[in-house]
Amino acid sequence: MTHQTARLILAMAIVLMAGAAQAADFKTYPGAMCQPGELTNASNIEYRFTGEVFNTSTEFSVLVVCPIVRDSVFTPPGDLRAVFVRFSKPNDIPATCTLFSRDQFGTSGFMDTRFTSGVGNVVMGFPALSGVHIGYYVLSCIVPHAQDDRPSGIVSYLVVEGE
Amino acid sequence: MGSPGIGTALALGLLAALAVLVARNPERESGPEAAENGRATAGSEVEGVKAEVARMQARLRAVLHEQRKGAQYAQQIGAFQEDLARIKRQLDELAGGPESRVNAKVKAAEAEDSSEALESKSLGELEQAEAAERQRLTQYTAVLDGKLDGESYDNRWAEQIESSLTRAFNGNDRAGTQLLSAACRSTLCRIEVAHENPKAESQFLARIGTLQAFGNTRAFYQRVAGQNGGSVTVFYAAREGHQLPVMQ
Repeated sequence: MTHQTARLILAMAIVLMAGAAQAADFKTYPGAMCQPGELTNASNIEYRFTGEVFNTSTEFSVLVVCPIVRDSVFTPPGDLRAVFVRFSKPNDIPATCTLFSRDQFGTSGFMDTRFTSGVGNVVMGFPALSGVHIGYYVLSCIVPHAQDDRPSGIVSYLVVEGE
Repeated sequence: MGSPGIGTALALGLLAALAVLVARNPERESGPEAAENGRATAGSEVEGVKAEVARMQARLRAVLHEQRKGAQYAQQIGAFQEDLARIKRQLDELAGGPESRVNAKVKAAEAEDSSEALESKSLGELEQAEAAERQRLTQYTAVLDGKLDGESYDNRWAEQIESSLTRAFNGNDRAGTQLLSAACRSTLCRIEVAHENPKAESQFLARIGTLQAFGNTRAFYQRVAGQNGGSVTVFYAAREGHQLPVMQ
């Protein structure tokens, strides 16, 4: 187990404990919730009937946009406490995700960008992000290319929201 | 239960059979032949009645056995009922547990959907909340500008980030987006970019994580729509390992 994975597991445990102590809403979404972020290379995106989304291209990365349903639209307490993205990666090419917190017209807000490398089941963790009153959240990810016939993709993502 | 009724009927039937036997006693007929014939007839009838009695006794035993089994079933049903009552009590005791929280959530959601809740969050109030939020975001931008102005210039880090931004925008990857300015200090950068159109803006945002200034950190951004579909976005990106000021 890498140090990064250990830290993420610890962070998840802390968030889960914090969530238990305070009011928090946990939701896990299947990777197949993510949509193509642009038409280029969209044909390389494969949705599995088991709920994952994969990039089957061995040359190009693909951009996906993963929706987050915001239950608590007023801030506080409706901030994002944490987001964890679970990747399945056949190679060490980093995956990049940006978590956006936007106002209702998408003109301003907060964002956080994270990378994750590693092979196999890899978790990318986002710490708390301020919400914008009545705004919305969205996660954008660049999924790296596949390795031979082993695709790279998002298995699921967990969202912890204050309520 | 019907079993005791059947048992009673069979017992009465047995008594009736015995009564018939007594009523047909040959000693009560007159004359020696008649008495002899009567004894012979009565003997066969007695045997028949005895057999009948034996059958009825067997049936009675069977019925009594069924009754005992019925009593056992009744005992088991009673035990089940006690178990059920105990489980119900436990559920009641869990009134402060997860189930009640789920119920509370459901009730809260129902309340939110109710017309009363909608009235309390009227359109006017929502507009007021939006206006207040816009003001809060504007004030936050001023806070960020103030923080940037108050920081000293970190020659190593700030110059590195500013140079990386310039290089990145000199390439072809950011087509349709132009870097207007990049100013970093010690823990914060202010980056201003112009997008020709929404598509260019979207493509830029999609790959913003590939810019060193935004790697493994958070930022606040504000977008201003321009003419002809273009826009300008100002980003305030925290240095990796540093936090943005808390928005009040």
